[in-house]
Amino acid sequence: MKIATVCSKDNILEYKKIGANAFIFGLLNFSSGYHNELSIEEIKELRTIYDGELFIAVNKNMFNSELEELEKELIELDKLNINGILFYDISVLSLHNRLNLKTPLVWNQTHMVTNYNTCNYYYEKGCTYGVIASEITLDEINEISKKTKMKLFVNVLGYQVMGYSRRSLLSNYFKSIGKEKEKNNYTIVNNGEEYIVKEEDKGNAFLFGKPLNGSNIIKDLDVEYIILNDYNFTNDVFKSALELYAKLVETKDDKYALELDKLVGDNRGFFFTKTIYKVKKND
Amino acid sequence: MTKKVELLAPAGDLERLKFSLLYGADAVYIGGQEYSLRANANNFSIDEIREACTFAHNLNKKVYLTLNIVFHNEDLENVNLFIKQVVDAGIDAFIVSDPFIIKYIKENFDVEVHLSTQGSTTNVESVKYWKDEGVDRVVLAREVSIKEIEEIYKETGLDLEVFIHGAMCTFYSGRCCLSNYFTNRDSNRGGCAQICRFAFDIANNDTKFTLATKDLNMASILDKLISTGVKSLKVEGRMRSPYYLATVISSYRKLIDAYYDGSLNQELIDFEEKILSRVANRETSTHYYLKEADYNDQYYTGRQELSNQDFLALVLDYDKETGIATITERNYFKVGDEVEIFTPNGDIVSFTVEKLYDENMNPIDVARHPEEILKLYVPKEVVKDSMMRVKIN
Repeated sequence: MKIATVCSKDNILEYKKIGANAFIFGLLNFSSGYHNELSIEEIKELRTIYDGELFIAVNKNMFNSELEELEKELIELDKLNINGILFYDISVLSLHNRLNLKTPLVWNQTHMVTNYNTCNYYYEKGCTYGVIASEITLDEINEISKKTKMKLFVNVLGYQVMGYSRRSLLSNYFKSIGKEKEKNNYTIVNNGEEYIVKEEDKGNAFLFGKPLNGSNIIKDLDVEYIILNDYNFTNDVFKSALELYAKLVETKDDKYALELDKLVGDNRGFFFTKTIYKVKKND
Repeated sequence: MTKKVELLAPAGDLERLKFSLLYGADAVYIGGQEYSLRANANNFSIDEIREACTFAHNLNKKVYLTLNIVFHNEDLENVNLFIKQVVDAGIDAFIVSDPFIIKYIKENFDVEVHLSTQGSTTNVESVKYWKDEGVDRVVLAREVSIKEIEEIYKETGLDLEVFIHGAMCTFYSGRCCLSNYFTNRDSNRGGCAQICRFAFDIANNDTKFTLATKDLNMASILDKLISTGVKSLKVEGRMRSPYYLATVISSYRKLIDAYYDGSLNQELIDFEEKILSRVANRETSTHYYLKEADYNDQYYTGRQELSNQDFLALVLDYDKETGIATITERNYFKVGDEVEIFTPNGDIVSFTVEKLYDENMNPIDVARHPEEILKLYVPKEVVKDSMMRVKIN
């Protein structure tokens, strides 16, 4: 099991030393929900100091006016020995196949990677990897892993995106109350629970306010990559967490899981919680 | 003769289906007991799907079934059997979002597959992909503009379906799991708890932070939308009341027909917009169709959603000789009130309530008990299933 990290490019060499095996960055203007977007030129520069596993997210919803530029960017990315392109919009898959690009694809339709049949469908369409939705259980993840050839990523540390809107929700709100928006991310509270609203050029991400920590699933998790995302952590806390996860992956020793819980909390997300959807019985 | 654009209505149960079709829908979309994104609507059993298809086909109309949950492993086991049963019941198309289902249906059955808006399809390249996969129609994302729809149709020629009326999602469809995190209800399997209607404390401001959007209403620019080449215009709301559906479908039926017979004018648009605005009592917008949705397209102080009491009665029968209609009451009205009855074929009969009786023809002055059977004099013939409402000037 490898550790893929979402972080600033400034931390990449340090995190690699601590134990990160791969890195994920957003592509400038073509990703959503990523705080670490890089342009093609910046990725080229990064490649001069880091030649390890590198994944690039091209995961925004695409519109007609962006397709021409998207095609150019995908062609450029294909020259950079990238290990995988994470995508949400089907146009990326379509262009990739039409242009016969060689960079592997990572199916990353955030909340939709939830069953093995659809993993197998996208595997047949050329997607080598998939990023499992953060809203399914450990048992479901392992069943998918057994029944697909797709190589899987699972988020285990970080503030999870609950939704993405094209609307500028923060800007619109502050306009409605006649105040200036002072920053692009705010913590909001409902019923005592905190959430994060993060505004980008392309819309708004809505995140759960407690970081996910899957420390206690590592020993039972059967996937190729775990994802650690440093968004909203201090550098010191994230470094410590990365170090502990590296030891945990290597040794499966519970003591590192316990230390992680003390450091970042024990929000297990949906790893052990099945969602429901019917709240009344049909007649 | 030009083939008219399809008017596609929601139907949460058989009653709603019948009203939607009688009031002018060309097709309806329904959910089965499993696999649809409105898990808490009444939904249709296999027998009811069969009855729905028979009813619709007798009117030369169509029924589509939503099979658009995002599947989990546990949902996979019986879905093939369910699809076969629904095909045997006579369904005209499946609306799906999970692509393995598309492949399965296309390989095994001769039935149309429509890609759900849950797929958030927003561009030419994606539509081309789905066309190559055998999809017969794509329901476009609600974030696309009229210009983009036109481009997509020109480039792909595929049947396109777009929303024209009803509630909007704040987030990209499929790209929202707020319900999962707030209530443990899976929004992508039909459990959406409408968290986007909640209010939040933010940054010590007195005014709560809200995400809710105004409803969609395309009556004012329906002509522009039809001229893009779209094949189907969809109304949202499988859990809406029969009165809401009859009113909305009736209005859009008139607007569409007027577009094709050349009689669409501002007066008609204004009148139908007035009716549409009353039936839901919510503010509306055209959202992304003409421009990027912005500040004006959201609610900020909680959604104003007043209870609508326009619907006064449903017509059960009409006696041509006496001019007496038998009705079942829905909301309070009294002798002397100005009312109107709108019929499935689009007629409106306006009159003042002069003679009102109980079920046994004893004169009464006031109708105050919902569901009570009453009789009243109506000056012009109306048919069963017509609806009486307050007069809209």
